[in-house]
Amino acid sequence: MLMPKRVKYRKVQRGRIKGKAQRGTEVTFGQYGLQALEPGWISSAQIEAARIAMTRYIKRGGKIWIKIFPSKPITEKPAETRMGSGKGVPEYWVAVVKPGRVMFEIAGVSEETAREAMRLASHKLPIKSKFVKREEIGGGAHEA
Amino acid sequence: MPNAVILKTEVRDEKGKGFAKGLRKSGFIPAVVYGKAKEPTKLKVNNRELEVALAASGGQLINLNVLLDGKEESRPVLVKEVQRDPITRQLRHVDFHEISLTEKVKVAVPVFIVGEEDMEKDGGVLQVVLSEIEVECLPTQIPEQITVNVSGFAIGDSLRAAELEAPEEVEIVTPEDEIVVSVLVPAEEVEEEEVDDVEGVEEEEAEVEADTVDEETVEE
Repeated sequence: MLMPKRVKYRKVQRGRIKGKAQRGTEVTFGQYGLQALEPGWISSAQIEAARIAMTRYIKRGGKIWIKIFPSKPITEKPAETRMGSGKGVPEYWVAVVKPGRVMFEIAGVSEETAREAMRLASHKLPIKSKFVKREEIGGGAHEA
Repeated sequence: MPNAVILKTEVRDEKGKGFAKGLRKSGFIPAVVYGKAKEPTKLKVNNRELEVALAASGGQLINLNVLLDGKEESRPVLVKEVQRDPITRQLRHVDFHEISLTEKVKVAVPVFIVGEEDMEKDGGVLQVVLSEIEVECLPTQIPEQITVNVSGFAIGDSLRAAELEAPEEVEIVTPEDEIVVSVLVPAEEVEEEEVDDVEGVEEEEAEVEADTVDEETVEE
């Protein structure tokens, strides 16, 4: 599963997700994508489950890009522990996702296949998402 | 400019977040036009007309009719940047770059793939590496697209920028050795095995993670 190789701080505060995604809102590598419509934390296990769902469906051919990375450690206290005694231990990693973020991209398959693969992947995620297609600026040529 | 799309715009003096919000609510989009040795001018454009113009021009030349103090002035422009809401795709802001019709410009033109149905039936996957090609030409001669014919392509075949066919008056700026499209070997079908592997890796990683956590806790 995806996780950072090494981090500066083992534990971080939860933070708050405000606003929409400023970057990563376009389909850039592939032809189709899955865009987040809600803010949320996507764990590395969920990313892996979505990836497996997509690869299994497209079987052969095609290429998948994962455009989010779980870089935030989440701590948990052991079950049936009394409150206090400091922060829990890091248990898993999540990617912080804002609405508008294109999380997965796919290329080399037909639109129907991509749509179904993304639908299956979206069921593995804790947030609402939608299928998006690549679009060129203004619908055609643009100044370089 | 016989083919240039005409777009009506008005000069605006106000600026800022609140004003732009109100402007968008009333069906207009804030825009700006700038060019060589000219002061940038703030504009407002009708949302619907702008969408139509962007689609019709295909990113090519737009003839901007700027209305200032009741007088209309025509300025040839290219679309420099389009800002849209990431979710609703509604227009938010547009940058126009005023150009001279006698000077060559560098523009990115989309690649249009044809003949995909006539590719060799060997299961290869067509990968479009460059979806846009940079070209240099006069603003009136910008091609709508660069057509790439992939009929007869088999696994391992690729097409470089040098082999692209462009109209005579258009010069391709993209480096000649850059690959535009290639046909890849399809990914192997490794259904059940892959799942087993992934699970194995998961267990291993979980152990490693747990170990590191223990070590670090001890250090503290």
